[in-house]
Amino acid sequence: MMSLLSLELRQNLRQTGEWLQLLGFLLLSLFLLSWFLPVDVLAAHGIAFIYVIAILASLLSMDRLFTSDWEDGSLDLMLLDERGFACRIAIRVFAFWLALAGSLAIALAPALMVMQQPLSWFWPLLGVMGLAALAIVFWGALLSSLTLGLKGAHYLLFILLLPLLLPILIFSLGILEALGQGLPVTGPLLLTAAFCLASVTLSPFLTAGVLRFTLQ
Amino acid sequence: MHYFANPTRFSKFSKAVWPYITALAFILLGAGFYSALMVAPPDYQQGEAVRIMYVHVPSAWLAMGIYSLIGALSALYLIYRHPLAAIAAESAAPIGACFTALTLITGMIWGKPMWGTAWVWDARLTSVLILLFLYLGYIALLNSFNQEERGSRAAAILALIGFINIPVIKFSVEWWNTLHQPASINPFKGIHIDPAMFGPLLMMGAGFLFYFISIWLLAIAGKMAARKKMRLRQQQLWKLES
Repeated sequence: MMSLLSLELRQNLRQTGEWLQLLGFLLLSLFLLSWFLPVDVLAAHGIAFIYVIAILASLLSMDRLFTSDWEDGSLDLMLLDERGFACRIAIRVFAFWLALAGSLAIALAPALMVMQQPLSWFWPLLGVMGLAALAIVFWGALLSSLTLGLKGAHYLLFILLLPLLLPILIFSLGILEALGQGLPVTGPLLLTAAFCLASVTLSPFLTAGVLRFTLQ
Repeated sequence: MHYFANPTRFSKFSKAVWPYITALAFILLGAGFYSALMVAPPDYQQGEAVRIMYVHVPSAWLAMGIYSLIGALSALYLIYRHPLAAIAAESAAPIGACFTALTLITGMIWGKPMWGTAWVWDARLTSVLILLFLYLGYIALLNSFNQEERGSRAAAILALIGFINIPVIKFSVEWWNTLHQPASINPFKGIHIDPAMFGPLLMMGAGFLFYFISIWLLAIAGKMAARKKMRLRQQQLWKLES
């Protein structure tokens, strides 16, 4: 299992161009925002800007989770192992999440500087982003298996994923708000974690079922 | 229910009851509109503007009810693989999307004079907007496949995933502080609305429901006819080739 995980992780990290694109999108849009917005707006809402743009950036990268393996047929090979398929998918999505969280961590320090926020936000923001990204990649895996091989899969995935993710966005922004005001974060944190747990445990089985049907 | 799972029997039955349901819908809607606009008293705070309620509330009931119906039918389709369930779910979706849009539009018209704003990003309004997006996503996903069956399955799974939004909408007015009032009519807690207003509201609700069933049966019949036509054309092509 660990060897599978490291294999997936290596495959993910070799796609340097994709991750650079994500980092570029994130930093460029934040830079443009900080260029045009007045300083007091930046100081008040900078964290929320970083958060929302990071979520959008991670949505943009979701559709290539299965596409290349589907095109070259290795997804069919994976499917031969009937019982381990869901587990295999869970590992792949988890590796994708690790790579995503890693690239967000790289981008976060410059992003905080661009948006004129104190660097003490680094760890809390990274934690909340990582938690939300966990739910996003597992939901995204399910939806990208549904839209696999479609013409406008990229946009369709984006449109379908956004409404489904609204609860997690609301709860995780609640954590950031409570942190910013120095209030206890237990309530929204538990809700976010529960949502993540549900998506991590349910999504691989559903995704495996959908892929099995699609490839037949 | 198994009796009606046969498409021929179903279309026979729906053809037989359709005129009665449609007539009932128009009678109820006529009586409902008359009593809502003429007979029911104006509100002591909101005046005549309260009459928007007689359209807003029934269409909100239907917006959520139709999504639940689509969810139930999608589950039936995924479990029993019966094409009629998929056809019924798919033909209800555009109607549900229209009722959701109607809910949002009448709500905005009502909110402008009462709250001073047509739109706020609070829990109830946002979650109904998400419901509209779910309907649109469902329709978009359904129509983006070449193979009918793959599209039906994908859309059914999406409908079931999106079903988590229904309790969020229903309880959003109790879980969060919002501008929108909590429900006045609750089977478990009683009816906190004057009988003079409740009667017309109920009539409008029943009228909307029968109107929905009427156009839903039409849409199902249309979709079944379209599929039959496609099958026949395929058979003709095969005959020409051989």
